[in-house]
Amino acid sequence: MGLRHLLSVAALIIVGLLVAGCVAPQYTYVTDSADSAYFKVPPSWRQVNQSSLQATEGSSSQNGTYLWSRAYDDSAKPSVGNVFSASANPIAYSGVLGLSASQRNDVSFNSMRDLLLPVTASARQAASAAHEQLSGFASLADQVVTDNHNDRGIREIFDYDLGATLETFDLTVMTNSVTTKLYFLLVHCTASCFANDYNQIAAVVGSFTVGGGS
Amino acid sequence: MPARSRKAGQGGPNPGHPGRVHTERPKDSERTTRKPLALWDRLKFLLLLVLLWLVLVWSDMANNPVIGFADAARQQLRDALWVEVLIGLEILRQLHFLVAEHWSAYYRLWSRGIFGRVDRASHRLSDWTRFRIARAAKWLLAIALLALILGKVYHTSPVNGLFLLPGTILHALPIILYVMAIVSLGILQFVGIFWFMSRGGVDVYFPDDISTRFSDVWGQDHVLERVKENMLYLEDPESIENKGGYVPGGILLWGPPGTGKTLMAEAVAGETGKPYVFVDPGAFINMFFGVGILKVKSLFRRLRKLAVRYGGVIVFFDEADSLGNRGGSVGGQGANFSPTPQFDGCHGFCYLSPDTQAALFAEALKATPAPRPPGRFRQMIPAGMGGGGMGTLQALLTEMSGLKKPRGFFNRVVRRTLGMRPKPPPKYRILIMMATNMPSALDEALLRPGRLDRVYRVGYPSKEGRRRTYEGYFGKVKSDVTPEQIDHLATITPYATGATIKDLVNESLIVALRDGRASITWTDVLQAKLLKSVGPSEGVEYIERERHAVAVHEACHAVVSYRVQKRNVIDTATIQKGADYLGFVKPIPIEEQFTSWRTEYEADVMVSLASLVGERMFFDGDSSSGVSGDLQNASRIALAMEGLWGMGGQYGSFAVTPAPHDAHPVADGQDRAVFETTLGKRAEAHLAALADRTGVLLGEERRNVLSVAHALEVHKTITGEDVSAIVNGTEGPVVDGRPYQTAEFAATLESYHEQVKLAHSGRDRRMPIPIPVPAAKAAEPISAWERQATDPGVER
Repeated sequence: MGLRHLLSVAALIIVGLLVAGCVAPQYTYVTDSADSAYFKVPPSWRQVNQSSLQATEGSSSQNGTYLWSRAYDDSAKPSVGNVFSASANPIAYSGVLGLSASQRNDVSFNSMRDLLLPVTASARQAASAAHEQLSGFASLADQVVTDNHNDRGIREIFDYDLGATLETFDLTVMTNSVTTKLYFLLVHCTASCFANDYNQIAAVVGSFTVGGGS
Repeated sequence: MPARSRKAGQGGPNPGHPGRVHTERPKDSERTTRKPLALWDRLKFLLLLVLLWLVLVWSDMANNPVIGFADAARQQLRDALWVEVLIGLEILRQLHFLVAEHWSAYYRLWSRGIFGRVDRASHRLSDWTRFRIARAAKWLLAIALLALILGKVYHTSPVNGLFLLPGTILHALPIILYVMAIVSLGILQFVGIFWFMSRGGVDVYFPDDISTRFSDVWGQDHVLERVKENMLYLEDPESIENKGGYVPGGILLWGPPGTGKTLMAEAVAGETGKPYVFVDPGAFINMFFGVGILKVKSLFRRLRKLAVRYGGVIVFFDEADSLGNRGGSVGGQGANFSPTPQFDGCHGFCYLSPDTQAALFAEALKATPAPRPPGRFRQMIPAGMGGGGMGTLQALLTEMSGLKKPRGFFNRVVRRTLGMRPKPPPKYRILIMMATNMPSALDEALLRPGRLDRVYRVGYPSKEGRRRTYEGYFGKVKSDVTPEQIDHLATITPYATGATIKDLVNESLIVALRDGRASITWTDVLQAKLLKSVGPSEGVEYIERERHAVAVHEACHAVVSYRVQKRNVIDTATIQKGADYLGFVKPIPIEEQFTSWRTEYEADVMVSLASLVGERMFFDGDSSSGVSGDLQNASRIALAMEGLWGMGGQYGSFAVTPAPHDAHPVADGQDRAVFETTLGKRAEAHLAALADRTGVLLGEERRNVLSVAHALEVHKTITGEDVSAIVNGTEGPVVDGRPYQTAEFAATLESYHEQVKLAHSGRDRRMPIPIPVPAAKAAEPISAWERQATDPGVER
């Protein structure tokens, strides 16, 4: 092999590496290998401080025990406050809940819909009876989701009026085939933001993949 | 090839590739630039690293169903930086090589300047120091790599990973032990089987276990003295070691079967105050490879222990040929079984110059298809593996010469680790004795000094030894045999061994018991001897005139033998028909002799010719085909006397002429025209002269011939002493010879013979008269042995 050949091979490798190196990944891939939960967010979305998130959400809720959770914020200053309130920039909040035996028996599509915010009519009535400040509910989409691992769940897109602004929520909740875990991904921002960034948000929600594990 | 030759004729540089000239490949040291690398060598590491990177990308994709190849690749470009660094370094290295291949100054700078300097600097250290530094560096590198891997595995820092490793190992200890237990179980099965199978075949006797003593070994005094000497050194090793010598460690006793080798070893065991280990001949015949080796090792471990504890030990390998050999033949000091072909001349022609010996040797090799060992070792088993194959012999050889190495784990390892020198082993006093009747089957390495220092032939016992042996065995039974008779018995049984003597005495006792007597008589001994030498008769009766003819035939042999063979005595004369003979006269040498003389050969020829000459004389020129074997013997001896032994009219030996098979030019009957040659004619003339002498002798001995023939007709089998008794008119063991001396009986016998001769020439097969009976009682009634031989109703 002559000098020419070697140089061309070397050049090819160097150029390949440089080109690939210059182009950063198009998405940030969020992975929970232990529970088999995956989704991707645009690289501009940055992770919310994990400990703050865990402190806010607590170790468990009435729906189950937190096994894993992550939150990403498209704002310049990612904050856990944005996750649990109205936000002008898209927020992605995902988690895995471990279910006890009694919780397992209570799991239904409606309980999934009402996982984070009251969505079903009964839940909304109960919330209003409890004087919660939630108004302006409007359901935009409601569908049942299954995948090839026999994981089932729902996807709800709905609006709530959180004070001054109308916030749109895109909630996907899934349970595994043996109903031991609940997976959820909530993407929300103001209605105008949601409409503007719908493609991006749809890509994030569309990438949400669970399952395989027990 | 015309094109090629034309181009070659034109002086073209290369017919296949015009314009290209083959240049000699320079040595590496002569190169000014680096030797170009092959394409594969340039790319192999790059390809490997790229492959590694692709594996990482694939791993990323496999672990995340969301990610695509492009993003996985981008992610790995960001995460797997170390692979990219390595790729960069490899590219740099290849660029460095490339430049060195084209730029001599650059190459010189590196090869002589930088690397040369490093080399020179590093070689100031000693090889051992450099080795140790390199070893330490390798260990550090391996530990660093391990730390990196552990850091990744435990998701912690590399150093932490190293500290976490023992915990993991401890955690996995039950499984490790479980696996080890399973493996050990498998191994232990084999160990158990081999241990079990390596038992047996070795017996240890302690002093006083064996009652045999040297006084029980008769007739082998010369060997016994040497063995005693060995024992003396075993008992008192300082007596030779203080004078700079060493105790001979091994003895090989070899010789024909039954000569007392094992008895001698038993006597050694009985006499010595040391333990005696007997190794069974079958101990090393094994089914599995390695069992024999284990046996040898365990045997020698036991021997060393016994030697240290009791100050010495004797080990005896009976039938040592079962140890086998690894091919090749043997030589040995003292033993007459040299592998080189020897000549039948005196001293192996050692009086000749070496060149002449070599020439004769080469000639002998050409003439003889295979070297023929001398003496009684002609029935050699071929070289090859015996029973002790499969490494057993090698293990034995190693153990025999390995008694002086330091032994033991503590001695060799622990002491050395502590900086102490291993202790030399104690002096193991082990006397190895082996016995075999096939020394050629032993491995040559076994016989070298240091292993078996002394090789003794236990031959046939001397007459004195035989006499003592007879005395010994007759002393154990009730007998009327006198010392003179025992002495005579020893004389007439020249090749008797301890075993055959014991058997003969026992057979004599059986003969006596059959006659209802508890005490053995001389007659019993002779009858037992007859039975042993002739065997039981076939019970075939001749027709009477043929019986007389056979009796006359054998009587001629017997009488001529009695008169002319001075170094032999007649052992047996018989007309009992056997498997392949009608009768025979068997002479035995009075003593072992090692040379034969012309007069003796002539006497042999006369005894052989006596049958033909006698038949012609007694049957008016007629003769039978029964003389064929006698004539063959006579002719062979006469030809050899003329052609080989210089006992005729010429000096030249026919042994130097090529022979088709064996070196004996006349023995094989291939040369049918030999009697047409000068040699044959001379031999024939010699035979004729000897036949004449025989005729004269038989004429003189006519009465004795007829007397012996009569005794043979009556008794079928008589001894040499009976022949003597008939000739001398005395009383023999079977035949009373006195009546044969009377003129009346001689005339009766002559008349009987004439009648038989008439019947022989006539048609009538019946005999006109019965066998005459002498006036006095010729002998005892037909003996017990003859009764059972002639009476089919009596079973032995």
